[in-house]
Amino acid sequence: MMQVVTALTLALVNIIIYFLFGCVLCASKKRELSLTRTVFVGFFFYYLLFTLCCIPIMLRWRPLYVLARLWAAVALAVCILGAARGIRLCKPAIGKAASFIRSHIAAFAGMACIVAVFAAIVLISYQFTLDASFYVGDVTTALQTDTVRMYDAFTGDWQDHYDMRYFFATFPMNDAVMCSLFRIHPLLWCKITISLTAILLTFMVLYMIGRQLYGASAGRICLFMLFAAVADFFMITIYTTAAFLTTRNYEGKCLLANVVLPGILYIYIRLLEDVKDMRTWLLLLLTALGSPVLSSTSNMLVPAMIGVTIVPLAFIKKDVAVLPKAVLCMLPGVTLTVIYILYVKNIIVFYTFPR
Amino acid sequence: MQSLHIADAGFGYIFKCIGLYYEGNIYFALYLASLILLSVDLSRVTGAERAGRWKALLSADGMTERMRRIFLPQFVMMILTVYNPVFPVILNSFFDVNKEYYRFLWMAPVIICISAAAVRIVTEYAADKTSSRIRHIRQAFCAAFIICLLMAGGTWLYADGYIVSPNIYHMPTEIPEIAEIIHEDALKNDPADEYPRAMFEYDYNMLIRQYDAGIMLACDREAYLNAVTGALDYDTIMEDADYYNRLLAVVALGIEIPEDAFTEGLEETGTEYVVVSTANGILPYIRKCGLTVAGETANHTILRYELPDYEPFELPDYSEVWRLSPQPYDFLMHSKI
Repeated sequence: MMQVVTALTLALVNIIIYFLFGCVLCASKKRELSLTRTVFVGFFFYYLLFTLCCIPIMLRWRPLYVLARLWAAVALAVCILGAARGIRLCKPAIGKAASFIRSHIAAFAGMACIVAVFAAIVLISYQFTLDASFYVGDVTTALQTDTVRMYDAFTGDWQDHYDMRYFFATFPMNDAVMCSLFRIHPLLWCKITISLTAILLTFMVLYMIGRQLYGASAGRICLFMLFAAVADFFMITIYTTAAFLTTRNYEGKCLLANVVLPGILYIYIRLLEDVKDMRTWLLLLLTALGSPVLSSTSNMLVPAMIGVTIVPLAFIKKDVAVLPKAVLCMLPGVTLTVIYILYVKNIIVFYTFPR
Repeated sequence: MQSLHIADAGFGYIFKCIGLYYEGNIYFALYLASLILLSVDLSRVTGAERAGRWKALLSADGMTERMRRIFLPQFVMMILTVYNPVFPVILNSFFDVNKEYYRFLWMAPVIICISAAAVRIVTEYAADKTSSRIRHIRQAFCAAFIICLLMAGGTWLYADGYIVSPNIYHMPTEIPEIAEIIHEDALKNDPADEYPRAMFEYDYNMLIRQYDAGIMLACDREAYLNAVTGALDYDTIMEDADYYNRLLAVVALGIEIPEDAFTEGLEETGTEYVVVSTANGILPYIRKCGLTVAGETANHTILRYELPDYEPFELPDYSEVWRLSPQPYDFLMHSKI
């Protein structure tokens, strides 16, 4: 029981870490701090920084524990910096949020119930999914062998080169690092901590979109989340975003489908209000940079989502300057796709040993 | 989508893809209806006599105009690209997107759009100028009706039954027992055998390494899927290559191939252990092939094969590269459930 409590608590720790990471970029005396947007920013900043630490470790064939120690140091430093930058701004932001919640207590109680019931139903259930053999297997394999992606997660056999399909999608390696830092079994981490984190982030993005759609009308936001939660239990085939949220929520693809893509819609709504807001454009760029870490599918979907969502903005706002910015935000995904194609064509190979 | 190929379906691919994606539910239809509902101010349409019906349809209040701007442009772009029958065909000529194309459908904010439309129905159309109490009752009924529609129009995630996880690890309880039996037996026979290789039935083959990566597997997921989906024929099984196919034939498909062919498969893949359900009819055949029982759990039998000239698997030595302690990380990988 204690292990479950630890695993659940670690999901909240994750959110706090994202928040502190977000504070580094969001904290500014000129602007009010938005708690949810700071977590959203921090989430992408966290994974972007992690992959920047992870890839050199892989290219130099260093063991997992080196990555774990390096990441512990980096994350701690960023969290301290985030706390230092955000501490003054946090107080009024939390005060404002608390006051808003107090004035709409019934609606927020409703939202809390929706998220809690949703999470409880999903986390208590047993699901057999094929892809867990890779995504969870990858974490246990890294921990077992103390290496980073050198072994086939399915069979355990040593690989002479890294599979480029997953090379930049280092999300499971972050799981492995966190398992080793917090001394928690990968199954607990993936199927409780990350699952809950994914659910919380999904509802957080829904809330952010709700705020954009309905402003301060918390009752409408609550209703919006209720309908979304019900739909998530019923729009089920093995392919849907809802199926990923309810059965495969420890995979990066779940976060891509339920956090990143709706997140881009959220950014689009903000850009509709103010297309020249550089902070929102930077948020889109950060999303584009951070999302390939979650899943290699991001390399394809994020540029496509930016294309279908942001490009029409140029016509709506009659502003051609939108297009180069949108293209810039597509570049990370497109670049990684090109690298993958070069790998498939045997032009780029990263070996798991010195040659 | 394993069963759907762009080359076969051609321009009809996208329709089949959407059909499979939303199979058994009406959510795509609800999405389209929601787009219309959010883009049109129905209150103006009903009073359209004065303004002219089409003009009324296109005119909008602030909220409708905003919703229209949020959801419609993306949908139009999706129609031009992702939902365009030509697009997957062109894309597939550059990249193999047969299995992954359905992920483009994630871009449509189906649930968000439906939820927004539902909120609009409840808060705008179900609310009239009657007294507050009657209005709230109307709204509650309306919300309940929409929830019923969402439920009836879809497939309940737990339609086949809600299974409570048997433990905190979300694993069958026999998995750790089997892992322990295999490790104990392997180390008893050879103290250096830290990474024994085993072959399991379908679901356990997918589960075991999630719990214990110290057990290696004879074949990976794709090979297993090929076998269970009927892509493995007898000639392929008996080929002197990909010897894991012989293990798949016996364990996954229950085919009794010549005994020496099976043991050759075990030897060539370095597989010491075979784990099958005790109720599996292939068990007597496996025992006849020379495997001995290493242990049993409530529903599974663990059999061991004495591999001739067996050399235990060792992790490649990176000590020179690492220049640091190459000792495996001290981690609680084998904690008991």
